[in-house]
This record gives sequence, structure tokens and C-alpha cells, in this order.
Amino acid sequence: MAQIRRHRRKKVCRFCTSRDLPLSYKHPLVLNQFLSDRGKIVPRRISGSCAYHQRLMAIEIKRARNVALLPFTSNLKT
Amino acid sequence: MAQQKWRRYETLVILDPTLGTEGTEEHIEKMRGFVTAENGKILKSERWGMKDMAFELKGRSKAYYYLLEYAGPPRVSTEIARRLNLIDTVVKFQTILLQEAVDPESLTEPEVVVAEPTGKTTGRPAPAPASDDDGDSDDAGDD
Repeated sequence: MAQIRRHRRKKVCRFCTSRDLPLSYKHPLVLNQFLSDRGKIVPRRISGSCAYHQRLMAIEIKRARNVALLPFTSNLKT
Repeated sequence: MAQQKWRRYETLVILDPTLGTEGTEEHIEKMRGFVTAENGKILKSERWGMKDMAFELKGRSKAYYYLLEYAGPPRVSTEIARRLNLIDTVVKFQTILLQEAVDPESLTEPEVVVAEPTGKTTGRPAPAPASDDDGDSDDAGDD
């Protein structure tokens, strides 16, 4: 049976495309976009970030968590 | 012997929200004194003001954030950490090494002072658009 293959747009790294997007723990609202509802770091597979920026981002998110700018986890009830 | 290379650090301090304006200023002055006492140079100071925290820290859900960027000999950061640990009203602090080797002679610019944001201070430093985690959020990055 013929499989319908939908064309998917290639994901691009947001930090590569917009160079002035700040990647720092001092900008929690930017980093917050790379967290899931539960506060977990979204994998590259989903977010489309490049390996380099994903690595830096993970470090910055952890720094922001350390000073309570970002959550370690959400208060969602299971 | 040549002068020892300096390092560039930044320290974010979370202060008790109940200190009041005077108490906060006093702490900030104290902290700046720690840097200058170790022959360091203050490069930037940012008052982020009172902010909501993402989770409770030591029973507090709000706190005053202050960021200090400075350069100095390597012992300056350990000395600041030691002294900040002795102060009860410092909820938490985080020091980050920004640059390994700085030439003290090159640090001639005056200190940059960023004042506390006016109005409601519960906001974060940068406004950002709402996002969705799925792959189709490609053109949300407009800042």
C-alpha cells in the first residue's frame, strides 16, 4: 500500500538563525521555550537545535534553575 | 615577576525580600567592598529588583536579585563566596567565570550601572513570545 508521506519542514536551530537571540541564564523567558510543561529540557529531536547550541542551552538552563529563575519541575498533578 | 593575570567573574546574589531598601543597599555596598578589598575591579552592577522565583527557596517565593560583574585575582571569587556564606540574609548566590585571563591594564572602561527596572518588577529581563514545543514553531524567534 502506498504510504502517504507528508512533507515536513526541516527544523532549524533558533540560535543559529537569529544570532541576537540571547542564550544566557539571565534571559529565562528565552530558555523557557526549550522546556516542556513539566520543566524538562526539550530534546534536540523535538526542538531542532543544533548540537552546539543545545549543549550551551542545557548549561544555561541549569544555571537558571540554580538561582530559581526556571523551575526544576512543575507542580502538575499526575 | 609579571603581575598575576586576572579573571573575570559575575555573581548573582539573591537577597532576602524582607530587608527593605536600606538593608538591600547596605548588602550591595558590602558586596562591592568585598571585591575592592581583594584589589578587584567592579565592571558592572545590575539591580534586577524584586522578582518572583520559579520555586520556593528557603521558604521565600520572592527575592531581590543583584548581579555584579568584576575582575580580579583568582582568590577574589573564593573570598566573596566565603563572605557571602556568612551572611544569613543572602538566600543564595551563584558565581560564574566569564574569562580565564584578563589583563588588568586593559580594564579602563568605567563601571556600567543598570538600575532597577521601574514599575512592576515581577517581570523577567527579556520579553519573549509564547512558544509551542512542537516542530512547527519555526518563526517565533522575533527577538
